[in-house]
Amino acid sequence: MNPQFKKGILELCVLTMVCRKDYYGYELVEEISKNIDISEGTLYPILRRLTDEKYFETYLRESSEGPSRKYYKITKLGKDFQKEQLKEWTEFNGNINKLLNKG
Amino acid sequence: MTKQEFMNFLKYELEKNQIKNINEIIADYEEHFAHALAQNKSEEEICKNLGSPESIAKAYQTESLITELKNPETPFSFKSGLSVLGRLILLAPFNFFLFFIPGSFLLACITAGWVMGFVLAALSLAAFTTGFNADLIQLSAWYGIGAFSASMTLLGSTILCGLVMFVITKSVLLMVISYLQWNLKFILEK
Repeated sequence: MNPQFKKGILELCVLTMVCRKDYYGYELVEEISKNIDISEGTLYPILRRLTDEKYFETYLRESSEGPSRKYYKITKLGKDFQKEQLKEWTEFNGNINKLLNKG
Repeated sequence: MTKQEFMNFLKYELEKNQIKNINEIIADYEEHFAHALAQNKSEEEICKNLGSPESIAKAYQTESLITELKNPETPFSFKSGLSVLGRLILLAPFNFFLFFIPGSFLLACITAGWVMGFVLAALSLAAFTTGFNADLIQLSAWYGIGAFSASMTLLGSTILCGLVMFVITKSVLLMVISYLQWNLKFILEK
């Protein structure tokens, strides 16, 4: 898939998933790569940017079994942003479908 | 690729692309490796799924570019204009005391130094011409030699004075320039 196209969608996927529950990096990466074919390494840059832009907060949790986990938690700003992005995506998707199905 | 190779390569690429917070980024990938290894994945496989460190570093660069584009440096606004004005006013009396009082003293010193240099040069030239024309204006040869040597002494002093003044003027000018630059930075700072 076109990488730029994928990036926008990935951002929306990540935002929506973290809206539902707090994820730690590996968990999120695993779940996304199960469904979308991506280089797992490129998800962390997106997570970092969304955190830098204050859409996520992070907290560290030590786990008794296994390595420590850095969790991502949605912020109020993040929730608003997700709503807006989802709306834009739905509209865009609808328009594209209209165009594609015209013929 | 082994984990160690991957991490070294990644760190190198991040540094090369001047990415911020390298240690935190490295920690994220360390955590990723730890989780994946706990699931009995091989280092080789983990590296393959992550993609090349080169493209990861580029991705960080792109992401920080996106942040920059989203938050462009605010163009001129009334508020920032006011704060610039405020700092100018704050700086003005300070500059006045710094520039006007020691500044005029320093300027006077430098001017005096250069004037002295020119006077010395003029005297040297005068002595030289006197010595050269000694027989024309019917003075003894001894007098001529005396005038020459005086001229040489004065010439030496002129060069010395000129050199010293050059060094002083240059360093003062450099100081003034860097002070002005600091002023500008202070005023325009966000």
